[in-house]
Amino acid sequence: MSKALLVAAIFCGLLAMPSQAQSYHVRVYGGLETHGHGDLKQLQQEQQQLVNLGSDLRIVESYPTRVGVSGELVVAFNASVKAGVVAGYGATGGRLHYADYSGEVQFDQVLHRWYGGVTLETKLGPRGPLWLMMQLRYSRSELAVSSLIRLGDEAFTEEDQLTAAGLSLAPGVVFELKPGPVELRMVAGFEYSLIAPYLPGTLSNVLYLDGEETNLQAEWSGFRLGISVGWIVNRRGR
Amino acid sequence: MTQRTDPFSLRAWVMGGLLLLTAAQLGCEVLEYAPSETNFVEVAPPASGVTLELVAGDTLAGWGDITLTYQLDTQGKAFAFTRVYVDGTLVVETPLPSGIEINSRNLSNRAYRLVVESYAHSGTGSLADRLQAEWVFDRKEATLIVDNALPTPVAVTAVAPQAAGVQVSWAPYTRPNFQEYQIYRENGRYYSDGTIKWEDLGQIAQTSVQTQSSIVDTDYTGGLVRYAVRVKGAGDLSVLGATKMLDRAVPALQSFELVDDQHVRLAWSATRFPTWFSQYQLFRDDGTEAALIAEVTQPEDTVFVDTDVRFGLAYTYWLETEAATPGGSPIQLAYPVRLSVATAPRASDLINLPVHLAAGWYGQDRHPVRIIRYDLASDTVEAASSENFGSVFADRMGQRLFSANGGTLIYERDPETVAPTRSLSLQSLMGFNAMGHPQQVAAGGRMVAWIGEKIGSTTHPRGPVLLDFDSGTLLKRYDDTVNGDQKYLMDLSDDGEYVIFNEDPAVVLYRILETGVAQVATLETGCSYAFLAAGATFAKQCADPTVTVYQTVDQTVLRSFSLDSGLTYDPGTHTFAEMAASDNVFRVYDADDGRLLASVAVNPVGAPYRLIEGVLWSKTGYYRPLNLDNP
Repeated sequence: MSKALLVAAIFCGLLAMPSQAQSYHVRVYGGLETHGHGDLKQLQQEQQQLVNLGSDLRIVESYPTRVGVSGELVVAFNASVKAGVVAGYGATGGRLHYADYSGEVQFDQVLHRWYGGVTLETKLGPRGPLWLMMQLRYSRSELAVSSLIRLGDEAFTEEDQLTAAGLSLAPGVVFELKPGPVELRMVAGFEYSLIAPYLPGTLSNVLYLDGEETNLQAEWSGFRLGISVGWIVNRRGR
Repeated sequence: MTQRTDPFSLRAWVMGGLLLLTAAQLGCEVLEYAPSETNFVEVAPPASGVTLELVAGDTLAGWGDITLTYQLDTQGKAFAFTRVYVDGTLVVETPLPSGIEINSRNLSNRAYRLVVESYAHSGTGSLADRLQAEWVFDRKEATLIVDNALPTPVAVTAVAPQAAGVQVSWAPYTRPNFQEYQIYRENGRYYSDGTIKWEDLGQIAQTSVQTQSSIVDTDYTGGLVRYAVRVKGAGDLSVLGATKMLDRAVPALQSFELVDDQHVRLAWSATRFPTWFSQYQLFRDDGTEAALIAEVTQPEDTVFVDTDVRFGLAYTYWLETEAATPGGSPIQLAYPVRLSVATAPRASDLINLPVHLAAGWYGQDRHPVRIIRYDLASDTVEAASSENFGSVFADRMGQRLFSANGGTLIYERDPETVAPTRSLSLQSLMGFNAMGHPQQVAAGGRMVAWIGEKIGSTTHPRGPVLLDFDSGTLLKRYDDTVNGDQKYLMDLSDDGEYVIFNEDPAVVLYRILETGVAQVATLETGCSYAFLAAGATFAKQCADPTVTVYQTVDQTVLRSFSLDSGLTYDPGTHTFAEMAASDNVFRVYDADDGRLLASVAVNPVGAPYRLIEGVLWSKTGYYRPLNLDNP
């Protein structure tokens, strides 16, 4: 499903491109991503209270900074403006864990998303290597929450799957070099989630955070720092 | 030259798209997130367990709701629960730490393997403990015997008449389905055709003590009865078991006679039903065991002489008559009275005669009292009177022996043969139908006696008198309205010259003259007095331990000292002696200065003890020479 969406997004984006393009670029991007996910982090703290273990049930992982990847098809209309489509993937999550000789308790949250969107880039100054970039992303997030309580050889597990869809804006600054047909870029930016409530899975998506009924939000807001390698598929004379 | 490439070249777009898809696919696989961090905490496993003990031991038997009690030592841990398995199946679980009930109604009547497991929370703080899912436990196995069948009847084995009633005994019931014994009595009537008709069956007692096998029927008033027992348990009541009959109007032990030291003659009435007669059975209980001592098969034989009597023991005899009913089954008939005889002097007073001792010899239930001369040290009777007496006295120096039977005569007896030598008629002395017996006798034959006047069948008290046995004269009559004894007489001197009488409210010292008595002095009230040194001095002890010794003639104070034990004076050793109830130690003190001369712990406790010529005696036969020169 996610792959079909990606392909559809790519073709839709390309069909919308202007016909007077000078060149187009295929890029692969990889970079570090931080994530907000404030609701899910608070959910971890709530889960700490579910078992009578106090602080012994430790949050051993909580939405760490991870590498995200994306691919882009961009058309350069002239020397200062590029536009195209983008599709990417990212994954993160968290874990609470306690174990001793008698058993273990584990609460896992595994979150990943596919996104697709459009990107618009404009050059800063006539000759410099810096570009301003703005991406509008449509994300589909899938959150798998699971719990495990194992006493001796006996284990009790529970799993749930929640999904969310929403928009985000990702502005950034790009340092770009073009050694030949290759395009090397260093990207620094920020992603800001606009709205992305999770939809219920087998269980409710409504949790009681701080004692209040709250709809969990997929919050991918965070800093982005990465590099991309591109290939200028069609380059019109220099 | 500029090369132009069509940006919408299908080939280029397909290539780019495939490149992106491949990159995306690879990126997803590489970047898939899977949490891997763990948090393992070192927690020590439980170091000790619990200890379970079944109160019933290895076997538990019962019916209905069977209560299983147990003792559990959790060693400080919190008790969790106890589970009981019967033949491997969990039948009950309880949060109670000491007992559990097993419903046995659905179990068939047989033995089962019982497993009891008691659990306590481990207290280790581990995950399983915090989730209350980690326990330490102990297991015990036992045999569970279930018996929900109707109780079987038990038979009455004996009906033994006693003074207090009829003791009904039955065979023990050993099955577990026990709730109570119910004891029944049924009245019977003899008919001229030789049959017996039974009626008015009624429960007379019940007991829930399974080990109990007898009760005493105190309501039996006579006549022919029979007793039966039924057991209440699972399924309610058993049928009545085999019965035993009783009729106290059957041959009864009527009398016994002490022929001599080793023979007791017993007599009983003859059976009223010689046709049914089987045998008389004579039983004896010497305090340690009851035994059949004679079987008399002739209904007209009603006498038996027990030749196996040991002097010094007490015996109880009873008679049972075995008969055969017209139906042929044997029945035991018994009379509810037992006769007891004590053959020892131990139940009477010890009299201090030179060398030997004399004492009464008596049986219970108004049976004869005799005077014997008995050497406690050698356990032999040296002489015995042939007639019955009520009391016996010696003078305090042990020279003369007197007795009285509560009638009108006071006898003086030969200390060697204990045979009477002289008598004094109280009736002639007092001038009315006087009866009495001496209380204290002096060496000179002077004595204090209590007198009563017999009018019809009633004796009216006439108070104490002081009389001279040798001259047969009345020295003083003190009061004729009193009933008490010790309230009036304090002490009579050994030689009979002085007497201290308590004529309420005054305590008066009298001197005894040939013609009567003269009041010498009025003494302090509320004190104890004792003549010392044959009467030359006397001692006084009031509320405190101080003993003051006076010269009798002029009541001048000679000396004083402290004495805790009271004034029990022994003229033979010139000592005060007393057994202290507080520590059961017999102590002897010098009568002159109160020095402790001897002390000895005595046994049995509570028996009267007396010091006679330096030897500590009791009526139980205990004696021990005391060395008064080296305490």
